[in-house]
Amino acid sequence: MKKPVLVVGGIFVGVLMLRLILAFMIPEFTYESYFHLRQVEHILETGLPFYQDPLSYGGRELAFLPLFHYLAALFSLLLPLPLVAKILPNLLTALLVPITYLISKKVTEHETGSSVAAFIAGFLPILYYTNGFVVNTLFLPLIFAAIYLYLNIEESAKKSDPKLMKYIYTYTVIFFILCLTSPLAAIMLIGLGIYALLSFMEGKKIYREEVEVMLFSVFLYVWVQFLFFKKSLLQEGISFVWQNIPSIIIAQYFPKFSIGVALVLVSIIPFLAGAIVVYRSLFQLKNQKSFLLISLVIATSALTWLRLIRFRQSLAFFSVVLAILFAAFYQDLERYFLKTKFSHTQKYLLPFTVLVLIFSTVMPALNTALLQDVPSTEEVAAFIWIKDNTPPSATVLATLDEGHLVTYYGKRNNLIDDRFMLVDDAETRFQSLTSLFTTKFRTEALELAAQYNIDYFVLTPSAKEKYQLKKELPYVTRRCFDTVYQNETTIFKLKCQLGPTENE
Amino acid sequence: MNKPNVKINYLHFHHLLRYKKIGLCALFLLLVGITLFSNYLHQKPLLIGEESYYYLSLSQQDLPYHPLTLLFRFIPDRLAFLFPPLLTIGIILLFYQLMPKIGFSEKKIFFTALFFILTPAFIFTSVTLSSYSLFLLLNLLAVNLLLLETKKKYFSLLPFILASWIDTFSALLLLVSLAVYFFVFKKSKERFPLVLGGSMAAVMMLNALVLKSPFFLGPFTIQHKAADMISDLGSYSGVGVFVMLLAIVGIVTCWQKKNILLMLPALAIFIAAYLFNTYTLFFLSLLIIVLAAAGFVDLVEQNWKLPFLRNAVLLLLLLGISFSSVSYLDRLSEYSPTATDQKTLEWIQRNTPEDAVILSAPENSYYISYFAQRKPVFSLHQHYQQDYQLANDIFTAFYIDELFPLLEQNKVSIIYVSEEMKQALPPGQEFLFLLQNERFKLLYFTEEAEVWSFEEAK
Repeated sequence: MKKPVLVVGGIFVGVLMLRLILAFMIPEFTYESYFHLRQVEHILETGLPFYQDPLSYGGRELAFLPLFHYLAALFSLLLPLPLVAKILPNLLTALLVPITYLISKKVTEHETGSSVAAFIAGFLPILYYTNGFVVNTLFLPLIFAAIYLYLNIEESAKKSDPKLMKYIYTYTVIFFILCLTSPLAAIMLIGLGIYALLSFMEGKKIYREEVEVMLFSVFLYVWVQFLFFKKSLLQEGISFVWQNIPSIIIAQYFPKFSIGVALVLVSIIPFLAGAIVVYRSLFQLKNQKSFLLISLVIATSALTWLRLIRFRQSLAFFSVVLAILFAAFYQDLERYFLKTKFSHTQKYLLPFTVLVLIFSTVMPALNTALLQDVPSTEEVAAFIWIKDNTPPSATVLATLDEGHLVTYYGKRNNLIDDRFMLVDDAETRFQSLTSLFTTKFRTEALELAAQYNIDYFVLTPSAKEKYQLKKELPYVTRRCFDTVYQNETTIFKLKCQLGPTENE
Repeated sequence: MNKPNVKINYLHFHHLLRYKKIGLCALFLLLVGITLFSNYLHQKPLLIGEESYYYLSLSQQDLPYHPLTLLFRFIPDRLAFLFPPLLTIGIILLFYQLMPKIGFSEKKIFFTALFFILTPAFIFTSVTLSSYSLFLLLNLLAVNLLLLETKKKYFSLLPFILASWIDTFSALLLLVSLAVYFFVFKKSKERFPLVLGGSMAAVMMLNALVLKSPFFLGPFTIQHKAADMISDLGSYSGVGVFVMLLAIVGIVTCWQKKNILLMLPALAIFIAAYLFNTYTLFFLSLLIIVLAAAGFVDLVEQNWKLPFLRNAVLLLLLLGISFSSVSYLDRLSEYSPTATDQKTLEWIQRNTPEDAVILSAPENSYYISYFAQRKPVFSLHQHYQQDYQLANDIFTAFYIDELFPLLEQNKVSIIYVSEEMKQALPPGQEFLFLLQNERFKLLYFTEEAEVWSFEEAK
């Protein structure tokens, strides 16, 4: 077996093992994961996802791309779902290691630099949410596989290589799957558009095959999104991009670009190296091989700056591109060393780089994994209690993050969760949720509870922390509420309602 | 552009191109038939859209003079629904007659006509009375006559003059286009262009200064400039996303051709006009479909290196355009006026004083004028900004102290709350909540609509 295969294979296996160990160390999943788990369970039961969800928001319509859920359901035919939910996302994310290596190799033709890039991709802190069963884990390897295939199409078109058709067929399939996975595939299209513009400005020839692939990609993407999100587009118009997220929390989903946060989550070394490579490629070397990657960096930065994609998602994509660009940086660094008096020290460059990366990338990655925002086992037990001890038609109040726990473990209606699309009154519900956790007035709480038919109130330690509650909800009294579950988490049952006073 | 495989490329469309006129007319009749049949099934008035009822109610009055209002003094209202589809069929046939004469290829004509039929903006004008639709028909007729190049071309005077009677913007547009044609392209030194231009300018001035016709006709609905252009974003009409994408391809492929010098200024003018008044979307849509057809024909005729991608792209495009149309048809069947609107407004006509002023959503004003024969508070086409602000102030007022002065100033005596208003306005607050005040009396209600009276202060 060739050395690079062994090295990259070794990194892949190491990364996968580490990720799985971290994932199994924490028993639960990130809050968002429970929505996807529920979808997979429903596919296993009925063959279809929950497009008409009877529990979320007390019954609503959902719009999302289902491929990730079908893939997980397929694996769940062989293994239990909780196991698949731990293994599959980590396996998919670890696949970024070989893909990063292949792209770096294609761009730089530098073996060691590409292996270092693969190493970085394996330990990017932003990708170390090991307990997240989320669509992004499939989206990232797919989009980078599509980028790799596009680079091959470009090269084969240039050389009139007979392998061209093979790459085009594979690209077509991968891109179709990508379109069915996440609307974020638009990054690829915008990146391709910027790439065409950059190439035109720098006099780089774009081959007809490339133009045809771009056209196909644009129309296919629009068509698939149109099919799945037609109703959201009609209902929400151009605001569809912001997914109907309530205005109060939109800044939380689309925060302003912060260099500080980016440095921590992407890791400082690839970030700085990427900035240097982009600058040198564009303004000094006019290196056309990196144009596509640079275009993708520009596309992602612009979309994030315009608040069109979520900060974390864009950072995840951005960080992998920077990891790939690190190969070019390493190549330049090696060349530079050879020109200096310290050329004899060049053999220490690789161990030194790996050492620096271990401190600047691996450590923050481990830290991210250990500090993931997941519900505690005790909190989960409270939601399971709801399933066994409350009437099936009950509506349960929990925080926005815990909304999916109510529907997944509790199998009861929630007031709100983080899937806002196609919900008419998302804004009002979010305001009501905040009021229910912060108001001191019982009448206001009872009025809101009556409006949304809320029967049970769940107060977890996370909710107390979020709303800075010292003890209980201020309006809870024995007269109006029964404490039906008491542990670290408390569940109250509402027993009174607003009505005329006795004097009347 | 490389075009060696043109014949092979058109194999898929061969059958369509052979029976083009029959096919196009059948498709058009199917789309319009579905809408009319759906309206009939829902017991709705067959004619939809605010503009239709604007003309129908105006035709019952003496002023102002407008080609459509004059026409509907003779045509019975119950037959009015036949007029828009006939107008569109006329447009398609005249377009087919004219385009070969000015050098349009057969394929471009076919795809322009196809996109015209499938585009929501024109599906809408095929079931509603539209001045700009009439303007287009008159122009096509006039240009067909103009190109006869004999004495017969003097017959084109009448349709050109009628066309310049619609509004000042369209008349100016027509004058400039004719000036460019006669003096830049044809370098004509005949007397005819001067006679034609002079007559049209006179009609335009008369219309604007004496008959006080507006510069832009409309808008008859509340404008949403960001979304009104694209039907797939839930706009009232507009063009589909795929046609829009094809138009971009069309601009790129036209870039090195001569006609881009005509296309770009036209595009700039229509976009600017759209930003002033979204009712002019008709013209912008027309240009977009011409560009889209150019883009589509170019995609088909290009010598693709990857033929399977070409087939996939063409299939995606045709499916995308068709889906946009089907999705629009589905929405069109819900457009007002509904059967409830008609029934309730006719109740108002029978049971309220003739001088009553009716408050309702601004879009309902034209239905109020026609069915209830009462004066509405709003008339968007006359003072859009003012009415928009007033509607906003009235329907978002939180307190009676804010609401009552506005109602009193505008002499409101009757309030019509339509089904759409009930869905759009928040139930527990603002306007619908304030209706609980004792100065409002419920006169008539069904599950979908309500009529309230607003009593004078005691």
